[in-house]
Order: sequence, then structure tokens, then C-alpha cells
Amino acid sequence: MLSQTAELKKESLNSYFHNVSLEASNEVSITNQKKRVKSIAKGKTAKNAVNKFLKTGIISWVILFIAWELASRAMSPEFLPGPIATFKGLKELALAGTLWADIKISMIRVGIGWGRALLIAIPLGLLIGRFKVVKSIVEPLINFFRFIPAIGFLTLFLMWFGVGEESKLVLITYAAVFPIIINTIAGVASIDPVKYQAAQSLGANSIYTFFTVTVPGAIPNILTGVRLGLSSAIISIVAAEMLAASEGLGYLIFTSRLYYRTDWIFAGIIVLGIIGFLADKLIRFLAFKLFKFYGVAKQ
Amino acid sequence: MSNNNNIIENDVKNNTNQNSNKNVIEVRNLGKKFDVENKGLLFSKNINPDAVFSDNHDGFVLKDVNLDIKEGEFHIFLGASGCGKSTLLNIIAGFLNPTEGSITCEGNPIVKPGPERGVVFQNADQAIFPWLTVYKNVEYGLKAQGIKKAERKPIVENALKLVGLQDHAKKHPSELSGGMKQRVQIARSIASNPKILIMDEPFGALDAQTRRTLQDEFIEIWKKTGKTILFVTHDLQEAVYLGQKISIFSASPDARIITQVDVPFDYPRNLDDPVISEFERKVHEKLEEAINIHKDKNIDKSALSA
Ligand SMILES: Nc1ncnc2c1ncn2[C@@H]1O[C@H](COP(=O)(O)OP(=O)(O)OP(=O)(O)O)[C@@H](O)[C@H]1O
Ligand SMILES: [Mg+2]
Repeated sequence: MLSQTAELKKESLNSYFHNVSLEASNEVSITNQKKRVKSIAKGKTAKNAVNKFLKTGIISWVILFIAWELASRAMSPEFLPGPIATFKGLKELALAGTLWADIKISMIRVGIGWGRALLIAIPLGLLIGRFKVVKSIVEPLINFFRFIPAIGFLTLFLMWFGVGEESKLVLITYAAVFPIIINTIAGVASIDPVKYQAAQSLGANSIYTFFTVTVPGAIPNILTGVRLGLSSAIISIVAAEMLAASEGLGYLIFTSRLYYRTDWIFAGIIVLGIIGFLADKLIRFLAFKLFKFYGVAKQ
Repeated sequence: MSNNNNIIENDVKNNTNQNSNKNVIEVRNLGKKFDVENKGLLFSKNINPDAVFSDNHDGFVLKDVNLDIKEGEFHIFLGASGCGKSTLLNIIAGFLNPTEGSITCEGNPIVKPGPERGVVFQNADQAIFPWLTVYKNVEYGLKAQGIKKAERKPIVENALKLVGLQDHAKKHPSELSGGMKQRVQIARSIASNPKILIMDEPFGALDAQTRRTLQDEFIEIWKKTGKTILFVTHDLQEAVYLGQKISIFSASPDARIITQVDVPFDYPRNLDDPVISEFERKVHEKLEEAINIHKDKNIDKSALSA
């Protein structure tokens, strides 16, 4: 008797559990499902295409070019050259060959100045972030000087470092160093203290911990600093080539005013913008490839 | 205190691991209070906190804590939230210093963290290194201690096998589940061959199913390695399921270990076993008692002053 009721109970309990078979119950529903899946997929690919197109940023550029051309026509083209005039100016410079020389020399200056900034700022930022003594000595100075724009030092740098390359490089480095330091410090501060505790409990001393926890842990923020530093370096090239230069994009932008070639000024500005844009893309691409597991976000 | 010790006066012979009588950790009359942080002031660590702090009550989180942890023992800290379990554990790990009293590991005073006291943190995401592969995470301590590469390899491989991650050695933590990350942490600590493994609610952040799996796996790991375990939990069932000895804390302030319970059952334990449920109920009573002792004290005080 008892066992029977138990059996019954078991069976009735079983009715609450349903196996889900791998195949759908009938053909009709399958074809219906397939149709639905297809139409959803269609809608999705269309949506994806629109999204992709929006992501390229082409729309903003088209709007900008139209507005720019209209504005230029409303005013005198010498006062504000439109995109077509600018493109013509650019072509002129490219054909004359000076544009490539200017790009090359400016990029070398930016590259060296920015590279030096990286070499100074990343180790310094890491040390400031990790060691209180370094922080208490260096940080007040940084917080003072970072508010003084590079251009403020232009004349002094020329006096101190001469009219050659060095003064220009120093200026670019000066401009690029602060965003890198500040972001590196922030990167060190963002590291979870539990990671240090774990490292210590595993027998790591403070030097080992510095290289295996502090450095890798700060990398995502360091890369932000690296990118901001590059934009500062590119921005400062105009100032660096303003005085005592005979070539470079900054020189081009600054001296074109003497010939009333506002289209050349625009050409120079646009080339700088494009170079910065591409360099930033490249850094982000490489950063993601190299440091994916350090927490660097993809684009 | 001694009258609380006789819940079940058992012989520990039943247990899988034969505990020696050697103490790995000894805590004597330990007290801890948190003083004002001296952030920003350089070299000011030695300011006497009593001089800075002159409150009415003494502000001790832990007071008069005495504890022995025997070699090979699976020791549990059980107590209400905020009673100071993590604080005592952090002192044993060397992350915090006691305000008074003494604490030793194998006779040596504990002053800072060290590889002989491995730590498994509650949150694996905070504790493991996301930029290193599973293999390199486990290898970290050995490398930090300067052990040669050829010697590291078999140790790491064994540790990975112990936690069942041998097929995931090349993955990064972001490619692992929560339970797997916690296994990485356990393997990483064990690879350094610590005397004692200190764990603060290591399975607390996992879902119930994964927690149960890891508990079972961990019992096996403990049996195989024979490590001394110090395991903090506020889950009574977990305590009874895992522990050989349960230290129950009274409530903070002035918390101390007020009761110790020997758990006399073999592993694996079946919590549905009526004997074990009954035992669990008794431990629960003791826990309630421990929490309420303090309340009674407060009531007494207010009654006196009224
Ligand atoms: N750094 C600190 N500074 C000041 N007070 C602290 C600090 N850390 C912990 N405390 C206090 O010490 C007491 C014990 O905290 P602890 O974290 O050790 O409790 P716990 O038993 O681990 O609790 P839980 O079960 O919730 O983890 C609490 O009252 C807490 O407020
Ligand atoms: Mg805690």
C-alpha cells in the first residue's frame, strides 16, 4: 500500500518535469521559425549596416564640409577659404614637394619630443603614484607647472637651448609630459590594494611588486596619458616652429599669413588633424592588440 | 570559557587528517583597535593612538583573543557580521598589526605578510592578476621567491592539476568563470607551499551550486595536501560542512573567541543526516549565545546606571 502511493507520488511528480527535445514538434513550425529567423536576420543586417555607417563619422564630416563651404561663400574666400580652395592649396603644396618635407620634419620633431616625454613621464608617474616620498617632493611642482602653457616658455627655451632643434624638442616634450604623468599617477591609484596584499603574501618584495603589480596595473590609464600626450605634442608643434624654423607644418601654418595664403593655413591645419587622427587610431589599435588583458578597452 | 568547550568532547581520531599537537598559529591576549589614519603625514606612523584618541570607551574591536591553530587542522572562524573575523585574519596574514598581545607563526612573531601564510581572498577578481595567464598567476609566488624555472614547472603543473585547471593553463582570468577564478587563487597560494592557508569567505561571492562544488573540491585538496586551513565564514552550514574546529566569536566591540567546537564527523558530510543537523542546531545555539553575551552586558550596564 505504502509503496504504491509512493510510486504514484513519484509518477505525478514526474509530470512536472519535461524533456526538451532537440527537434521541433512539426514541420510547419520549423519552416515558420526559419522564415522568422530569416526576416529578423535581414532586419538585423540592415540595422548593422546603418550602425556601421554612423560609426564611420562620415555624416559629421559631410555636414562640416557643407557648412564650411557655405560659410566661405558668404564671406570672402581670402578671409575664410572653403574646403575646395583648401584642397586646391593642398594640392599645390604637395606638387611643389614642400608639403612632404614639412610633414616629415614635423613628425620627426613630434616623435622625438613625445618619445622623450614618455621616457620621463611614465617612470616618474609610476614612482609618484607608488612611493609617498617621491609624491610629496615632486607632485607640488607638477601641479604648479602643468598650468603654464608651453608657449609661455617659448622665448626662454630659445635662449636656453638655442635656435636649433633642441629648443623645439624641449617645447614639445614639455607640452606632452603633463597629461602622461597625471594619467599614470591615476593609473597607479586605480590598482586594487588587494593585489598588493596578494603579491606580498606570495613573497614578493616591494621592487618585485612595483614591476609586477604597479606597472601592469597602471597600463590602461598610462595609454590614455600616452594618447593625450601625443595630441599635446601635435598641438605644440605650431608653437615650436613659430620662431627660428625654416620648415615644418607649424612653420607652414605660421608663415603662410605673410603671403595671405589662408588656404595654405587651412591645408596645414587639416594635415595636422589627419596625422593626429591616424596616429591616435594606430595607438589604440596597437594598445588593444598588446594589452587586451590589462583592461584596455577596444576603441 | 572552558565550560563552553564541552559541546562534544570528541576524539579527533575519526578525522581524515591526523593533526599533530604542534601549533602553527598562536595568539595570546591579542587586542586590536583602529587608530586615526595618518595619511599625508610622512614618517608619522609612531604617533601614539591613545594620545590622538581619547574616547570614553576604549574602542577595541578585538580584545583578549586567545587562539591556537594546530598543524593540519581545518579551522573555522564563525561569528556575526562585523565581529572582527576579518580583522583577526588580516592580523594573522600580516596585513594589520595588533594593538596589544602577541601573535606567532611557528614561534616567529608575525609582523608582515609572508609566503608561509598563503591568503585566498573573497573576491578573486580583485586578487588575481588579469594580465597573466592562469599558469603565470599560479607561478607568480614561486617567481617572486626566486625559484628557478625548471623547479617551478612541476610545482605549477601539480597545483593546476590539484584544482582541475590543467587544461586552462593558457587562458586569462577574463576567460574563466567565477568558480574557476577562485580555483586559480587556491592553486596560486598552494604553489608557494604555505604552512597555513588563510581564507576569508572564499566562496561567499559564488552561487550556491558552485559554492557546494568548490567546498567538496576543497575538502579533497585539503586531504591531499594536509595543509593547515583557517577559513572564515558566517555561514553556519558551511562551517559544519567543512570544519574540524570552529571558533565562535562574540560580538564587537571587545570581541573575542568565546567558544570552540570540535566537529567529530568524517568527510564527506551529509548535512541531511539527523545527527549532523542536530549538531548544527547546537552550534547555532552557541553562536546565538556568543552574539547575545554582549547585549546582556550592555543591558546590565544600563540597568546599573539607571
Ligand atoms: N580599517 C578599519 N578602520 C576602522 N574600523 C574598522 C576597519 N576595518 C574594520 N573595522 C571595524 O572593525 C569591526 C570588525 O570588522 P571586520 O571586517 O573584521 O568584521 P567581520 O567579522 O569580518 O565581518 P563580516 O562577516 O561582515 O565580514 C567592524 O566594526 C568594523 O567597522
Ligand atoms: Mg569579513
